[in-house]
Amino acid sequence: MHPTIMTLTLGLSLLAISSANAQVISGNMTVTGVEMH
Amino acid sequence: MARDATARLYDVDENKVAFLRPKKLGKYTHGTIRFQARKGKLIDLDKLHESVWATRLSKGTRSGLVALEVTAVGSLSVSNKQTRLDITGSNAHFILGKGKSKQQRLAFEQMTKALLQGNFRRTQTVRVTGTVEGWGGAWPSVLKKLPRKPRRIIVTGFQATP
Repeated sequence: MHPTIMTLTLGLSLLAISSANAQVISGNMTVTGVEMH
Repeated sequence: MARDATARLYDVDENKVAFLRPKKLGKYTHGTIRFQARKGKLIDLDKLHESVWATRLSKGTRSGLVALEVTAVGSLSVSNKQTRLDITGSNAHFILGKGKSKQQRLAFEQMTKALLQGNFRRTQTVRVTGTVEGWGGAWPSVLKKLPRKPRRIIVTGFQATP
């Protein structure tokens, strides 16, 4: 397999694994300096 | 960008990421990104931090992180005179702190009552909402390193049933 494709596949596989240390069910992230369109 | 960084996370339900109407507070404009985990999943704050870091939000944008409020489900216990929330379905835990506002003090009292009822033994599953300490500041300094652990949250809401 081409190295780039292999890296991408590995990356996607890792993303698909849920962390055993995950913590929250929901959240609100408040940011400032929001651009108004 | 921070909204997109949040929605990119695998455990975040991208259909439930919302950007709440920005509010003008003083000369700055605040906006809130609301996010929720996929059904049966939990969101890892380290991954959230990493994802926002990857946006490379830089100095000079006059933007930053005001606060991160999270909701977590788990059981309460007391260890070394600290109240902790052990997350259901994970190895993680939060140290819970008391805030100064009326709402924060009330939520903390409700939580303490639940612990008292159980004689300070581990409680049934409860739902705690709180502001995560260390998650605030201007870009990019707020993203330079992960906030310290154990993670500590100032309780803003409590429900005895999840």
